[in-house]
Amino acid sequence: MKLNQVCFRSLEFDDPASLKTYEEKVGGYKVWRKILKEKPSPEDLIEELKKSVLRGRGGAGFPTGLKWSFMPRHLDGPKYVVCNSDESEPGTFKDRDIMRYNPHQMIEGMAIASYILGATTGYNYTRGEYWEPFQACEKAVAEARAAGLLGSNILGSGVDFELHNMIGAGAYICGEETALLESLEGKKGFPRFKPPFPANFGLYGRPTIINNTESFASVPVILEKGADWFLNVGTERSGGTKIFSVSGHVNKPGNYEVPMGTPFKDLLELAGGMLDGRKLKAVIPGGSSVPVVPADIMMETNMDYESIGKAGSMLGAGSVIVMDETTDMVKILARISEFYDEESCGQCTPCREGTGWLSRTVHKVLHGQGTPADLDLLQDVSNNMMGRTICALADAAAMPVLSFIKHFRSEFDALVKK
Amino acid sequence: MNDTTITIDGKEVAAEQGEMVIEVADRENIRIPRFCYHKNLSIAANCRMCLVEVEKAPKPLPACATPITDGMVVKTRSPIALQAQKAVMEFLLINHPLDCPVCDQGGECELQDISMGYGEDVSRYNQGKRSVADQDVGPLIETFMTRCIHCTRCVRFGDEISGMRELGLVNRGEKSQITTYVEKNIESELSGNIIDICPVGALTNKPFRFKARTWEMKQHATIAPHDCVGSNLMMHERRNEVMRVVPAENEAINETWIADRDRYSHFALYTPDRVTQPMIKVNDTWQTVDWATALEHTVAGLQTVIHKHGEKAVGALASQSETVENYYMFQYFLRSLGINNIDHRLQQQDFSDQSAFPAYPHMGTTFEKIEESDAVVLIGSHTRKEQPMLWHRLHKASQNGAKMFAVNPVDFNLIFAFEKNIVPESGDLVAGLTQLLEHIPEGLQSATKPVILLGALAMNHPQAATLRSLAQKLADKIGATLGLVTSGSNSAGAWLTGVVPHRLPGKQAASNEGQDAQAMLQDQKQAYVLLNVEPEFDCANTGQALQAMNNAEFVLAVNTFTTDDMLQYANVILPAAPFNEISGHMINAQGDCQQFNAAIPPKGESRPAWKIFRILAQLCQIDEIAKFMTIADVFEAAQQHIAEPEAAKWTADSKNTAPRGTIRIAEMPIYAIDPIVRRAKPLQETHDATKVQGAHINKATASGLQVNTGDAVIVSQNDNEITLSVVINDCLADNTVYIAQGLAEHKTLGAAYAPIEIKRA
Ligand SMILES: Cc1cc2nc3c(=O)[nH]c(=O)nc-3n(C[C@H](O)[C@H](O)[C@H](O)COP(=O)(O)O)c2cc1C
Ligand code: SF4
Ligand code: SF4
Ligand code: FES
Repeated sequence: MKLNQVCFRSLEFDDPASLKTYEEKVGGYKVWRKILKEKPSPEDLIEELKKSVLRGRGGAGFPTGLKWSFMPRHLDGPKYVVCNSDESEPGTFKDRDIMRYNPHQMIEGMAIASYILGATTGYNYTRGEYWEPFQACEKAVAEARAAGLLGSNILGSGVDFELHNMIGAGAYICGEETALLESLEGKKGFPRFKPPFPANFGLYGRPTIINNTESFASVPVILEKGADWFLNVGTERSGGTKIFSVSGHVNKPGNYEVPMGTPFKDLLELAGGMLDGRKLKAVIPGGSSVPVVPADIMMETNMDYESIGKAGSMLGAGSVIVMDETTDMVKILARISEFYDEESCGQCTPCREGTGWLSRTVHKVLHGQGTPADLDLLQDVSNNMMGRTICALADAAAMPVLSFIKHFRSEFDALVKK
Repeated sequence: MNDTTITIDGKEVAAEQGEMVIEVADRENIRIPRFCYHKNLSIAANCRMCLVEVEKAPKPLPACATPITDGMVVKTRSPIALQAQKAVMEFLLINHPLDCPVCDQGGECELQDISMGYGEDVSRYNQGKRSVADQDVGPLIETFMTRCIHCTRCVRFGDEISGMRELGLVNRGEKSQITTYVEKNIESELSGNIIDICPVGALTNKPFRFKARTWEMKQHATIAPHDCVGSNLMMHERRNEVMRVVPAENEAINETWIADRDRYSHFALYTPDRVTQPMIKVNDTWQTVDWATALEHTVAGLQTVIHKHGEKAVGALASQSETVENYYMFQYFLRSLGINNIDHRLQQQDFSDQSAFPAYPHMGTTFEKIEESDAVVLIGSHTRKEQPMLWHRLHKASQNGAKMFAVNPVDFNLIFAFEKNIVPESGDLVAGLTQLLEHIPEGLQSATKPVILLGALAMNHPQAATLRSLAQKLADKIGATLGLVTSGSNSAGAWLTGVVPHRLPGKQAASNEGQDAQAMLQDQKQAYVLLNVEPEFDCANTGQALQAMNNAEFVLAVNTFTTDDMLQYANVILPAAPFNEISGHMINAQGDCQQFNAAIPPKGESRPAWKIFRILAQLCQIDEIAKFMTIADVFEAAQQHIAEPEAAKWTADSKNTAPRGTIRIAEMPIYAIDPIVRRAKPLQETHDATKVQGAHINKATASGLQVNTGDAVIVSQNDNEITLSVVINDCLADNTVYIAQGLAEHKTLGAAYAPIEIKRA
């Protein structure tokens, strides 16, 4: 299996984050230079992206080409390109390594997006704890600017694009795209009610394209090697490669960029297999917010959007949390619920009140003080939160509760007094 | 319009593209529960109480934020909708204290009401509830933040309506809290509205709290008597005592809001200096007497003066906030006696163009139209404090992109940003306006719907006529509508009924023109008749007015309250019932003649002023008085003179010269504007009331005098000296000293825009 074909292309070289490596070894900024010279029609570029079936890598998996085609490109006035590097979902750490080891590819992706959309300003918003990746991006932007690849009238083409890195203040909710835009505007990170979507009403109320770091970093490769190449690397409906952040009870936790559709068991093997040779119990395949999948189902599942969907979960951001037979599932759920309780922004009634209620009830069960009625209550409260709020955080808090109780009911039953 | 149909609960209804489901449902009287939605605030869609089922949508949608589409089928009470609504209700109640028995909102609480319909009897929540520390936010609003349901209406009100971000939501999730950030008072002059919009008892009316339950009170519609907006009010009364005031909705006037002045002024109604019995002074002592005795005493006193000195020796002043009926009978009585010195323009100093006035001064536009204007020029107008609800429309205009300009004696903080704000030296507004006229800024020149408003500080300027004709020139040049924004609540009514010395009712020139408000004080009269006027507070030159009163032989006050000075200078005080105890009409700045009825009967022996003047006329044997039996008779007589607003053409020049040297700038501050407001204790405790005290000067003036904030200075006008404390305030121009009018400590001083001496104490 070929690793690191798209976003981690630079990894095999020394000093992978430098402009020198990116340009000379990886062949980066080729697409950007070509665009500046030839000024291809944006429609054609969007078509190419659509054909590649690149789906958003930030969690929701929305087709990127389609999203870009919604943007009112011909509108006058400022438009923005925003990169979502907030990466705060527990289990996710892939964007960190793109920024640390291949930041120029993200920058090139954003620059191409700006050309396609007619934007002249871009922002890369990194999570508050990502000081080192933020510094790496700062360095890369400075290098690109010094090389004349960013700025005004880039390489004499008449095209302008200025890029700024921004660092957040450590709130998970600022990864939700509209909360991120609010935060960028200097306000409290509260998700906005949608519609209108950012494509029409984004940063400062202007048309804005916002994508995940990995999505942007995929774009130069697609346009360089062609949509067909990208599609062929992955599966029919999940094009390209995906970085999976594998963590938990494995021997070699880390980021693995593999083709979409790679069987889970191969990915597990890449990650060095189960820690101490213990037995796999369950996997959360897409970050803490998606439903947990029991071992037997997971071992039969391939790592792409459709297969994981069939397994009853979601590919999400590709954050694979592996749990072995020693894992206390109630304890894990308690930790996850506590996270969402802490991170709810508090605007919507069901999420503000529900996340705390869930977390306290799971903890009660964990400490042997629960009753069977509490398990029903947990499911009821979760169902009352799902799909009833401004953003998907409430769903993110509810889905683990429902799936943990569904698949590991006996562990919960054992703790509640009859 | 109505281009679309949707179905709500099986009923096909017309709707307009862009409307939200909840708007259509409200119009059709289909009640969808809601907490965060408010029709005059932006949509937050955060409470999720309004979830409804929409056919073809995979999940329930918030009605307040779901735009209608043609053919949409909405179910507000289907099993899916009800389940969603009940679930939200359960979430709202788990952390709510449910302390309804001790909560002031009990009985009028949206949470209580909706939970009756959607809540369960027994809670499934058995964990500890959240509690939140309260904050002291000042004299008008009480907080009980544990009850807050985080609907953010109060926050949006601050952002969008009052323009002051005084409340915000801090922290996240369950720890979210509405706060003022650092403990501080809420200072907006519109702040009380957050009490009304708060759906629960988190924000309540501080001076009213614990006084009465809603179901114990009756409500009566009335009109606010403090400014020319004429906001519609609901007055809540229990056993003939006014308990509180809330807005009555009128989208064309005050929308769903009122100013704090209108909400809290009623606390003045039962102060100890309220007169409720006729009083006469006999041998320098006051006696409380019956009406017959008092009236006899009054007629005798007036007739003695007229007999001795003639009708010209009597001056009559009415407040600027009387009803049409009061005004009509006031002037009717006086003119029947041959008294022509009649006026209500208490603070005005320049009367030179009074004959050129239209039938009555008006704004030249409507409140709603102001929102649509693309440029506004304010001349001598501290609108935000003079007419808060008019300011609200200007604020909206500016939010809609209108460019704002001003020529003002002080760089007032009107919240919106000015393209150009001219604050001339020495209060020389004529110079300021000339400057604007000579260099008309681009944004004003190119405006398509500009509005020019002259406020109290221009109308009361010694060169008011010149300001009007300059404003006219500007209006002609840029094609603007030009309007006057008068003081008081019914200056229009006063003009129309002839409470001016040069005109009879209905713009008819008086054959015997009397003296204006200034002349009759300058030229000492032997008798004065006052209608709700406290000359030492209300007149332009209070020092002079007080002296005139003190030197008169006979002073009749038909007033709601007494003052210490009045007890010295008056000979008869007849108790006039205040606005909430009388019926009548008032005409606002856009020309609406609004009728209102007494909310409660007059207290004690008080009577409506029109009745007092009627009976006085009867006693003076004025023949025709018999035709005024009822208030309807009086209004009928007055009504024929109430005309549509008429366009003015200002061309006159003032005879007065421009103020030179160190000039006193003065205004009637928001909470000193009239006798009622001056006595409303909660308002007197606000920052707006206290911050106008002292002598305000800018840094340059202060360093010239070698004084600092807090130092004492001696100021003098009218040969009277008083000592005041310095406030350094860089909103003031050079050569100006701001000393408010309407404050007891300042009463011996003179007029606004007049020279003042200031020196270190
Ligand atoms: C609570 C919440 C947190 C999110 N956090 C992230 C994040 O950290 N990074 C990210 O790329 N997308 C995050 N998303 C998804 C974004 O809202 C958005 O869908 C994404 O940035 C779109 O980019 P993509 O199409 O390239 O995936 C989050 C969504 C929610 C509801
Ligand atoms: S769902 Fe939760 S996190 Fe998302 S907007 Fe609502 S309260 Fe905030
Ligand atoms: S204080 Fe009242 S108005 Fe403000 S958010 Fe809380 S419940 Fe809503
Ligand atoms: S009223 Fe619609 S969400 Fe609050």
